[in-house]
This record gives sequence, structure tokens and C-alpha cells, in this order.
Amino acid sequence: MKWSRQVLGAAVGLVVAASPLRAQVPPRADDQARRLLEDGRTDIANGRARQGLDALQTIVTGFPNSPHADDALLDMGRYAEEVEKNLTKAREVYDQIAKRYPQSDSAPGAYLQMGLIAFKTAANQAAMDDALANFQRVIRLYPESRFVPHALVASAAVFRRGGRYDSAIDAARRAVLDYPRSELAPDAQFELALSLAMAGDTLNAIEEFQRGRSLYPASPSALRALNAATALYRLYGNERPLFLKDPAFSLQAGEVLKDVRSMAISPEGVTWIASNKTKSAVSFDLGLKIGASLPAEDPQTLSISPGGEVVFASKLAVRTGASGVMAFAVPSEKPGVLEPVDRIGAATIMVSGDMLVSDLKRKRVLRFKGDTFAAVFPDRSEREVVKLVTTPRGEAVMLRKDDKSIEVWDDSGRLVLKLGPRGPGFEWKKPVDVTIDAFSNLYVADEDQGVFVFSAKGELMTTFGASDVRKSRAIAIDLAGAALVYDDRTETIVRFR
Amino acid sequence: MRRRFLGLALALACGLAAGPAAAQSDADLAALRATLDQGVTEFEGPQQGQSLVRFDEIITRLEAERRQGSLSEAGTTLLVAAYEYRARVQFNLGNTDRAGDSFRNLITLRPSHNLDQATISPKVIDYYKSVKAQMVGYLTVQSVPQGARVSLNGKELSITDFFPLEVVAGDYSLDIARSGYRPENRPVSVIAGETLSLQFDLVRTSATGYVITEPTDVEILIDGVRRGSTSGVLDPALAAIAAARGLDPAKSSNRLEIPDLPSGSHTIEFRRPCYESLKLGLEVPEPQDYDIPPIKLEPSVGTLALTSDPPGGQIFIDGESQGVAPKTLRSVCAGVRRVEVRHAAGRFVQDVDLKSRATVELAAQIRPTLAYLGVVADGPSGERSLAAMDTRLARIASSSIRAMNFVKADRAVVDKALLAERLKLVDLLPPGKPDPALVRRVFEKLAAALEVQGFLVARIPEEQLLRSAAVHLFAAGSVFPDTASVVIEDDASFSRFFAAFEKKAPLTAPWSGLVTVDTLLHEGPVVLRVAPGSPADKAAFARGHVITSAGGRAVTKTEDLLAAIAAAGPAKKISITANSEGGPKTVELPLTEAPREISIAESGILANKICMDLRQTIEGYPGSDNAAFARLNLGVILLALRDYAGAHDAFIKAKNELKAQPGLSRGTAGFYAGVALEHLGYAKEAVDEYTQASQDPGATILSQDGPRVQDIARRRLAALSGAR
Repeated sequence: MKWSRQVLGAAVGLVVAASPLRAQVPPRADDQARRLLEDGRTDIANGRARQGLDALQTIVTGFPNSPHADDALLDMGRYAEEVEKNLTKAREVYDQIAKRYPQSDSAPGAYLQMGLIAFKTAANQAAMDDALANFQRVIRLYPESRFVPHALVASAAVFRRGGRYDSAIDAARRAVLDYPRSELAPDAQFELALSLAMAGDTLNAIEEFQRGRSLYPASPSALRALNAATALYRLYGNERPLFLKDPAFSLQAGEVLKDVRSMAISPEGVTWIASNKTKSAVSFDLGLKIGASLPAEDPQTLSISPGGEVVFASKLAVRTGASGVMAFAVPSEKPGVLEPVDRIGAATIMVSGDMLVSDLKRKRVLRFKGDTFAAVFPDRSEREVVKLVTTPRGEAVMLRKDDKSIEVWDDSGRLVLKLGPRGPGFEWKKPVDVTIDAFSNLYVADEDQGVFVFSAKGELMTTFGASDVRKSRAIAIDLAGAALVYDDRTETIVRFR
Repeated sequence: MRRRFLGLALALACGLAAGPAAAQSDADLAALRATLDQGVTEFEGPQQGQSLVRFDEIITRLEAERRQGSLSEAGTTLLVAAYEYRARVQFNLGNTDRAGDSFRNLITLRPSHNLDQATISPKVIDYYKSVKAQMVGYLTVQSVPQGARVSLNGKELSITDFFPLEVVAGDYSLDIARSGYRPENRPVSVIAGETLSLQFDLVRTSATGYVITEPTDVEILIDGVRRGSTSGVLDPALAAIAAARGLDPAKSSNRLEIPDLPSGSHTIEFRRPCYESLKLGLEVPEPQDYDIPPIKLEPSVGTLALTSDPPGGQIFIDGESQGVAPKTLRSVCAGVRRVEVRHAAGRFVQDVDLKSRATVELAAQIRPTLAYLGVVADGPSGERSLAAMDTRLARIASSSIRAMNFVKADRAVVDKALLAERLKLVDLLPPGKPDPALVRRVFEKLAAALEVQGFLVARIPEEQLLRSAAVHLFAAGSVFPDTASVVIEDDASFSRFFAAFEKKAPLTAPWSGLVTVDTLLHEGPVVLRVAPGSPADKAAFARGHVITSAGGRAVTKTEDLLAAIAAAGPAKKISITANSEGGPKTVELPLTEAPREISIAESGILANKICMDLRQTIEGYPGSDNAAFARLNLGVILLALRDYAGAHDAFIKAKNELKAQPGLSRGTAGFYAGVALEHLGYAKEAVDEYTQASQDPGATILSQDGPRVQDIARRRLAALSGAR
């Protein structure tokens, strides 16, 4: 990556004017810097992170005027972000690039990364605007940069999360039309289709998913597009959504299928089943082969975090992924004294990274930053929440046992939707579980009445399974939109495709 | 002989001493004439004596020339005039001695010179005559046969028989020569005031042939050696002889003399382009004149029936313009002819061996022409490989590239174009980032100057281990090239790149109007929608139909269906089976040819090559639907190449050429024009285009049944208004 000639010339001119002793980087020094960069990258790739980072730092401090200094910083930023998971440090490094090397090829990359970091944890409009501003800088200030399609796709994702679907569609469409050869073209096409789906333009969305498969058949998004198109077609391709029992589905899981409390399916297609019989959450791969298990006393719920990790709530603690078990405590009436949260009913992780934990004893939903109590959510009203799910837009979906309703809250605590127990065309008696699909449609399993499907706006789309499931207890939606419902009476999982 | 040789030696010596003898230039003579005129004016004026200076100047200059042997005939005339005037001035000034010298010099130059009795004083004339009488004698020569050239001391005098000619008295070596006769030499003395008469009977040494041909300008060869060409117009006295041999006297040549024919047997050959050559035996028994029978050559021509695709190409046969294709050219000279058809879209070149009286039909397929600009190196190590890389690239390209004409660019033209912009070729190439407008301008100029449609150029980077080079393909007017990295020593890496030149991207494709989607719910692609008015619509396909076979083969996904439709072939009917609620149905679906958008992401295509093909269609079929869609696609490709100015230009023209109708149409071009304008920073103009496009209900992008322009344009407008 080279500085633009114009700026290099200007920089040299300035340096000469200021100090006759400082000169342009001589060719040998430039060579040294380049070799250091190559060495640094090789070391990092081969697991010698410390040496590699040292080499990169040497370029930054020892050869700040070399054309490789911005590359070194970019690599350091990416390492901090992707390996160390230290987003704050990463952001600082990217900021350095933007300020010190604004004309370099890495500068738009730095803005892009800053935007992506902001977006990762953006839970409110201000945070999303911050992310968007960085992406727009790339597009407006560096129109020739190879990062522009990335910025467009990222902008589309931001718009989509913020519910600005027309803008999301427009940004994704621009990326698709203007950069058909970009490495990001398949993702742009997928984002376009997804945004159309979220905007309710479902038939065009299906078409765009198919177009992505046709144009980029070998890309990873091709399979995702097939699943998405299947899910959408099931919901919108016929006069009414059609969920038919899949007679071929059979999961032989022995004890795992006894006293199932919850189910969830990860973005990789791994099915998790939380069984009180086995006191664990057990995974099954795409071929329904049993995999890892996570032990827990008194398992409660399973959900999937925005990052794609399984969130396993048990009575006393919440486990995130394969590790990361957290117990929680809240301030008691006595100052400085914390009381444990020991009747957890459900948990989920928000886009901001905060965890929402349903405390059945206190009948409140508590918000924690890490394991530190932050606030009650959304307000101090009593709630017996037995299931928590996070939508793609960063909203929290709650199943309340007390009033048998479903509530959807945004991150700021604003009520977006309240459903049930009755409404136009439906009435449920005993809702036992709720989940969402990739398009934020809501699936509410009632113990005796099967499953109710609602659009993100709360309109009833269909019901199914009443005659096929005797006693619903848990529900999950797979990658292709098929519903898995646990029948507590027969101790089996019924699949509706 | 001795004198002739001496004269030659003297001339050589003068030449060696004085340097290469150069005749007076026209400018020199003009200047001297002007001096003479000035002198004459002064001579005729009151101060006659002043004119001497002028005449002296002329005499001094031209005498120097004469001594060097470089005095031309015009110069001699001028010198004679100068001497005459000088002599007259000197005579008038009473200096008769000097006048006499001047007259003597004059007479030596031109013994036959006489003064104008009408204008010159009798005294001067008498004086002149007296001088002349002491210097000049007369020579007359006759010969048998006549027509012999007579020279004195190597200087040609006249042709026999001639009346007495004035010659400066003295001793001479006289030469007389006539073709076919033995030349003779005789020392002679010319005495002033006396006439010397000489008679020569020349001895015949060789034969001379005389021949008449029809047509004229026939080359004559004797025993394979060229002896001349017939020319002129036939002497009427010989018309009867020619006619008796079947010649048309009006088209026949004059007699050509073929001298110095040795006795014996010879072969005489008659040749003229576009005529059948004739070879005859020629017997020359003895040295005398022979009239070779008049010869009529038969035309050797054929017919060339030329068409070109696209039509309207300029035809050139061996570099000469012959009109515009399609055309039938009769009377094309037989033999190997270079047939060239030049068109704005490209060129066709082929050597055709045309037989006499044969007809050759030639369908000239115009192909774009690619000019090879050479190789540049970034540094000394690259320069060491320059020549080898240049040779290799040119060799492989010329043997591999079939879809285009491949020519080496005229270096002088290229250098001139670059010089005009103060550029080097390397300045236009990646990884540099030259101004796109500059690159476009330079390549457009070069394309016009070289009459080509694209360029090939390579660049060798400065590397430690010199192995690779970048080969760039630019279409004329292009801003960004297609680039391949090649291994210098690996021919296959070059060939792979050039193989992509053969790939075409058709403007139309068989179309059914079925829009299907793959799901995990169906065994085959399910119909999502059917384009209104399409073949599938007419065959009553509808949403929910599941396609199970197409073209006789099972279909499990959309890709299979599309492949079957694409492979439908010229018959353009395809059998499609679908499951529906009413049961399976099979339809023989007649497909139509529908325009399509070429995607730069299509496997294996080179954007610049496609641009050249598209421009060929645009140039070759102006006003046609194909040209309009080609222009639309050109804009799409240029847009993807980020040449927004070029794209905008193409879209605006396409917009004017396309109709407003469902599918790819005017609205498509208008929408894309808006996209290009946005990139160029013309937001307001972009909004205008989007607004227009948003009102077009049927236009689509990407394909005939693709996303609707109306929806996309409306969203774009909403996004732009939100941004402002």
C-alpha cells in the first residue's frame, strides 16, 4: 500500500521546509520497513504473535514515514480486534491510521474497521449513527478505495438493524451493481435479499436470494441463500404459510429427550437441547449426530447471542458458549451487600453485549454488564419471564408467564410490541416458549394449541401443529425456517418443514 | 578511346578534388537570373558601365561551376548571356580586347550562338562575327544507316545525318555509335571557317528487334533479362500490320526497339500485370533488324464477390480502394491479392489466390484489430529481458489470438501521440494511477491514428528474481485494462490469457419468462413468477409449479433449467415438465431471443475484449436494436470498470435508441445513467434520471425479467433525498 504521490510530495516538501536534516525515506530504509512488515506478518501467521507485533511496532515507531507504516498499524489493529478481542485497543489503532495517514490506502480500511467495531455493539441509534458515519467516510472520501463495497454492505447492515430498510436495500443494491467483481459481491447480494425480506418485499427477496445462488454458486452465502429462500417461500410463497409435519424427521437422543426445557439452533446449524433429565445442554450437528454437552443444574432456557454463541441459562448461572459461566448478584437493601440471583428463569445477550437475566424470585429482568448489575430492564414492573430471545435488530423478546404475553423491547427500554394472550384471530392459553426466525417473525408455542406464527409487526400469519403435538414444551427454528417442537407427552421432537 | 577515358578521368578528378559536384539549385539560378536582369537594366540605363559588376559576378560564379563540371544547361545559357552582355559593355566602353575575350569565352561555350541582329548594334555584331570566324569551323556527318549518335570528345553533338554544325576549331576525337552496329572513333580536325564532311558506313554487329503489343506497357524479357517496356501510341502507318494480327490499333503500343540481340536462339517473354504472360522462342539468324510479330496479351482477371459483416466496409485490393461492401469486383487481376475490408468496427485481411476467369466469393468477417505496443520495463533487470519478452509475446499473441486481427503498432505513430501528451507509455499502465481522462484520450487518439480497436502492452516490474510480467489489454477509449500476470519463461501462462480473448458474450439469449427459485421444500425449481407476455405466460405456467424436467433431462435446481434453456439451440423450443396442483404437465415451450445484460462477473470474460466486441456491433449496425442493446451493455461494463464518464455517455445514447417497453429498455438505460451521474458527482442530474426511470413501469435491470427499475429508482430517490 503506497501513499498517494501527491501527499508524499507534500509531506516531503513540508519536512524539508521545517527541518533540513529530515529527508525523504531513503530506499534502503523503505526496504527495511517492507521486510519488517513481511517478517511481522509471517510471525503472526505462524503463532509467534509477540515477535510479529514487535516487528510491526518497530515500523510504526522507527519508520513512521515509510509507505508501510499504515499497513503495519492496520495489521496491529486487526490483531487486537480479531485475536485479542480488545475492541478498545483496536479502535485506538485504527484511529491512529485515520489521523496520521489520512491519504494512505489503509485509511479507508481503518474507518471501515472502526465502523464495524461500533456496529458490533451498537444497541441504539447514536451508536449506529457512529458506525454509519465511518462507513460513509469511506464511501465519500475514498471513492476509489477497494473498501467501498465493504462500506456499502456494512451500511446496509446498519440500516437494516435500524429498521431503515429502504436505505439498506439501496446501499446493498449499489454494492451489487457497482462492484460485481468485488470479493464482497456475494455478501452484498445476500444483504440485498435479506433487506428486502425485512422490508416485507418477500417475493423480490426470494428472487434476489436465488439470484445470489445463480451468480455465486460456490460462495458460502449460496447455502445461506437456499435456506433463506426456503424459509421465505414457506411463509410467503403460497396463499398462506405452510408448515407440514416432516414424517421423515427422527432424532434418537435417548435420555436427552426427556424433560426438555428448551431448544436452540445456532447459525452453523447445530441443534442444542437443554434436558433436565441429563442436567445438560447437548448439541447435535447438521447430521443430527450428538456432539458436545454443557452441564448445568436445573437447566432453564437456551438462546443464541447476536454473535452466534449459545446462551444457556440454568437456575444459578448462565453459560455463554463453551466457557464463560457467570453467576449474578444484585445489590441488596443493605448497602454494599450483594445478593445472588439464584432463580434464573431465562437469559439472553443483547447486541450491546449486555446480558439480560430473568430473575424469577424478584420477578424482574435484570441487566448486567459482564457480571455487574446495571439496571432492571425495561422498568421496575414485576415480570415472570420464562424465555428471553434477542432479535436481529437488537430487541429483547420476553415470554411472560404471569400475563401470558409476549413483549418486545428495544435496547432503550421502549416497548415495540406486545402480543397475547389474545388478539385478532388468536388466543392462546398457555404459552410455553417463544423463538424468532431470521426475519424476526415470532413463533409462540402453546402447550395445547400448537404454534402461533406472527410477523415482526405482530400480525398473525398462521398456526400449525395443534393436532401433531400433544404437549408443546419448546420450539426452535432451523436455518431453513423449519420448526422443531418438543412434545413433552411423547418425549419426541416433531419437525414442521 | 584514349580521349574518352581521359575525359572521364578528368571529371572524376574534378569530382574528387572539389567534393561531390552539385548542380546549381533552382534558387541559385533564380538569384543569378535576377542579377542578370539587374545588370541588363543597368546596361540599358545611363550608367552602363556599372552593369559590368553584375555580369562579372555571374561569370565568376558560373565559371567556377563549369570548371567543376557541374554547370547545367540552364547555367550555361545564363553564362552565355552574361558573357554576351559583358562583351557588349566592354565594346561600348572601347575595350575591344576585353570584349573579344568575352566573346571568345562565349563562343567556346556555345559555338552556334548568334547575336540578335535586330537589337544589337551592327558594329558589335560585326565584331562578334569576326571573332567567331576565327574560332569556328563546321562539321557535318552522314552515316549508313542513319540515326547514329555523334560525339566530340565524349560530348554528344547530334544524330546522323546532320547538316553542318558550328564547332570550335580544334582537334577532336569523334565517336559515332548506333545500337546494333560497331561503334567507330576517328580523330578529326576542325579548321576555323572550313567545313569538315564525314561519311561513315557502320558495320552491323547485332540484331535489333521491333515489337508492338496490345496493350501497351508490356514488359519485354529476352532470355529472362528485362529489355524494356512497350509504350506510346501505335504509328498509324503500322495500324494495318497490327490489325492483321488481331490487335486493336487504338490500344496498341508504338514499336519498341530491342537492340543488341545476339545471333542465335532466344526466349522472348511478354509480361504485364493482369494479363497472361506469353513466352515465345525467338530465332536471330544474323545481325539485322527484325520485326517481331505484334503480340496481343489476354487479360488475366477474375471476379471477387465480397460481402462484409457488418456491411459497409471499405474494400481495398492490394492497398487500392475498390468501393464499399457488399460489392462484386470484376476484372480483378489474377494472382495472390491482398484483400482488406476496413470498417470502423475493425478489419478483415486475407490473401486470396485469384485464378484467371474464376469467381471467388468472400464473406469478410470484420474483426477488431489489436495493436501491439510493446513491452516496457521498470528497471535495469527488466530491461535485460525486454527483447526476449517482446519477441515471445508477439509470437504467442499472433499465433494464439484468433478473434481479433493482431498487428504491431507503428512505433512512430505511437511515439508521436505520446510526445504530444508529454508521456511515456509506462505512465499509462498499472500499477500507476494516471488520470483516467488522460488514458482515455491517449488511447482514443492512438486508435484513430492506427485504425485499431484495442491495444496489447506488457510491463516488466523490477524484481529480485525476474520471472513475471504483467500483460495489459486496453480497448480503445478504455480507462482500465484487463491484466494478466505471466511467467516470462512460460508460454502457457501467455496462452491462457489469450484464450480468454476468444470468449464471446452474446447480447441475447433464449428466454422463457420463467422465474424460479430453489428451495428445500421442492424436488425441483419452483416457479416464483412468470413474466407477463412471455412464452411461459402464454403456456399458462404459474407460481407454485415445480419444474421437474427440461429439454428431456431431469431438473433439480434452477441452474439446470437455465442451462437447458440456454442449450435449446436454433430450434428454440424446449420441452418442460412441471408438477402443479392439477397434476404434472408437459409443454413444448417456444422460446424467444431476449436481450440480456452482460455481467462483468461472468466467468472468463475480459471486460476490455467485450467492450471491443460491443463497439463492433455499435459501429457495424448503427440504428439497429442490437446496436442499442450493445450500447446499453457497453455502459454496464464501463460502469463496472468505474469509467463513469464513458458509461454515462453510452447510457445516454442507449436511452435515445431504446424503446420504452417491458424488460431491458429505455428505462434501464436511464436508471444506469443516473448511477453514472451519481458517481460523477452530478447529484441533481442523477435525481432527474432516477425520477424519469421511476415512472417507467416495465423497465428492468439485469435481465428481461429482472428487478424492476421503478422500485429501485424510487428507493434511490428516497435515499438521496434522505441524504440531502
